[in-house]
This record gives sequence, structure tokens and C-alpha cells, in this order.
Amino acid sequence: MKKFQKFLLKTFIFTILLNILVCSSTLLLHELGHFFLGAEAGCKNIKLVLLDSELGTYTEMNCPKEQSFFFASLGAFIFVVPFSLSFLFLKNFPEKNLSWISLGFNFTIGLVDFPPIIFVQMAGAFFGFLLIGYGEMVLIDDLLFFYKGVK
Amino acid sequence: MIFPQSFPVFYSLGLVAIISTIMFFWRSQVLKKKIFEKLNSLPSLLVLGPSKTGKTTFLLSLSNSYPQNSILEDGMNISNLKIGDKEIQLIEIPFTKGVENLSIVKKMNVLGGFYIFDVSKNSLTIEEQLENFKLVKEFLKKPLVLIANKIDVADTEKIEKLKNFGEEVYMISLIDSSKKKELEDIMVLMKKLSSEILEEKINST
Repeated sequence: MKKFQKFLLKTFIFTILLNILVCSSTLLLHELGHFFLGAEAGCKNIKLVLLDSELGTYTEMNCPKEQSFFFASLGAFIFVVPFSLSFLFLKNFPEKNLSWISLGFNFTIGLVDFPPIIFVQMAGAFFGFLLIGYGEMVLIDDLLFFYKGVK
Repeated sequence: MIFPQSFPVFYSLGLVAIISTIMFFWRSQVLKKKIFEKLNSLPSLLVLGPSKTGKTTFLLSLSNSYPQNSILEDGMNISNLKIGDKEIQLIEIPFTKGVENLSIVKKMNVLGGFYIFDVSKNSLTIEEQLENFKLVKEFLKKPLVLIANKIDVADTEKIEKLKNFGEEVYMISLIDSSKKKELEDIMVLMKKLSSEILEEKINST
């Protein structure tokens, strides 16, 4: 079964690389969303930190009004949505399922921008991970089954 | 609060990679199960023999459709064939010395098979081929039809040794169209073999 094991290993590496690529892009776009929408909302001293000393990624800003800050915070999630949905155009390829992973990941990382209410964050995290899990399942199924005629 | 104020990159990417790994392990097991379910569901006839004896050509000649390459092993090809109202699969098993290659057929519904000998001048010695045949036969414990291929470029000594082996051997040349008659005989024999065993199995259940 060497051939089968080789196929699994290749597909596994490909899946992990796809995930890292898409999630890194989602994270970067999310922070860019904060940056641009903060500037649009009139926030000052905007600083985008891609990697700090603790390997964290965040955007700092001073916003004049509560609404502006909310706009910059929530807007970042919406800023990434077109990118996530763009994968759906790859409708004949298994990679179309990256859309769910990107949406779920964007949703989960967006939770840090919400007010720190445990129930909201837990419910949000559950939904985010559900989306990621579903995305992973359909992506892997398509990569493994679709091309091998087992489905 | 269950989330940090900033999102550590490696923490979040690592989390996604862990989810992906768990999902991958689960789905690959499901795939493996499905492949074996499909493989074990139909009655099978095996095509065995040393490398380059013409196993794939033999498969092609009998089924008239290009065999499907299996994901499980390099050189393992599968063709589906209708015998009456029943469907069987012809499976080409890649050659290895001994019976290491046959572990995959343990759970299959094997009816029997064909063992192809190469009698051309540049092939393995007939003693080596017979030795392997005996191991295969002992392992499978199923009826095997013996075929000698490439008789158009045959080594007469090898043919003689094979004839003296004590079992009936069908002499064919898969590239020589004048030998089509032998192939038709094999086809009839295969149908007979399959339907007899299938019938026997149905009666016993």
C-alpha cells in the first residue's frame, strides 16, 4: 500500500499548506481591514503590528467616538468576507471549500474585537470552529474522494 | 474573557493545523474503508504472474475496456466484467517474490485466477516462475488457470518444462492475432469457472 500512503502524505502536506496560506492571508486582510477602516472612520495613530515580540498580530488606534471604533472593529470582519467568498468561484475544484475555513477563521479571530462577554465569545468560538471543521471536512473529502472516483 | 487581546499568529495557525490533521486522519480512514468495501464487494478473479508477462494486456483483451489503475498499489489494475447477469472484477496483482503482494486479497471475495508465465527468451527462468506459482497457489487455495504468454518469441526449452509440470497450460500470444482462438477458449473457461463457483456459493448460502 505504498502508493496509497504516498498519496495520503502528499494530500496531507498539500492540505496543511493550503490552510496555512489561506488563514495567514485571512489574518493579514483582517488586520488591514482594521487599518483602512480605522483611517476611514477618522481614527488617529493607527499602527498595524504584524508580529510583536510575543508573535501577536494586532492593530492599534485612537478613535474619536465609540461608533468609529466599532466601525473599525466590526468592519475588519466584513472586509475579509469578499476574499473568503471568492473561493466559491472555484466551483469545480476542491479548493472552493477554503471559503468555509477562511470565513470560520475570520469569525474566530474577529471575536477579540467583540465586547469581552464570555457567553458571546464562547458561542462565537463554537460557531467559528464549526465553520472551520465543516470546511476542513468537505475540503479533505473532495481532495481525497473526488479525484479517486470513490465517491 | 476567553480570547487574548491580540491573536498570536502561530497559536491560531497551529490550531487550524491541528483541526485539519484530526479531520484528515478521520477522512482518510473513511476513504480507506470505502475503497476496501468497493474492492471486497464484488467476486474477483486475479491475474497473477511475474513482471512484464503481459498481465495488463491480458486484462485488456478479456474485458475490452481499459483497466482502472488502483490507488492502493502501483501496477494494480482493475477491470469489471459481466458474466451473465453477474458482475465480477478482474484484478491484476503486481509481482513480488513470494506472496507479500497477496496480503491485499485476504478479505476479497476471490473466485480464482490466472497465472501467466512468460516463456520468452529474456524472461525469468521457468523454475523461478514455477516456484512462485506454487507459493501463490498454496497461499490462495483457489483454482488457477495456467497461461503461457509470448509463445511467438518462446524459448522451446521453457515450453517443454512447463508442459512437463503436470497441469494444463494454455499457450497464447497476446500480440499475435492468429492466436485469438486460445484467448476465446480462456474466456469460455473463465465464464465457466466463475459461474460454477458463484453458483456453488449461492447454493451454499
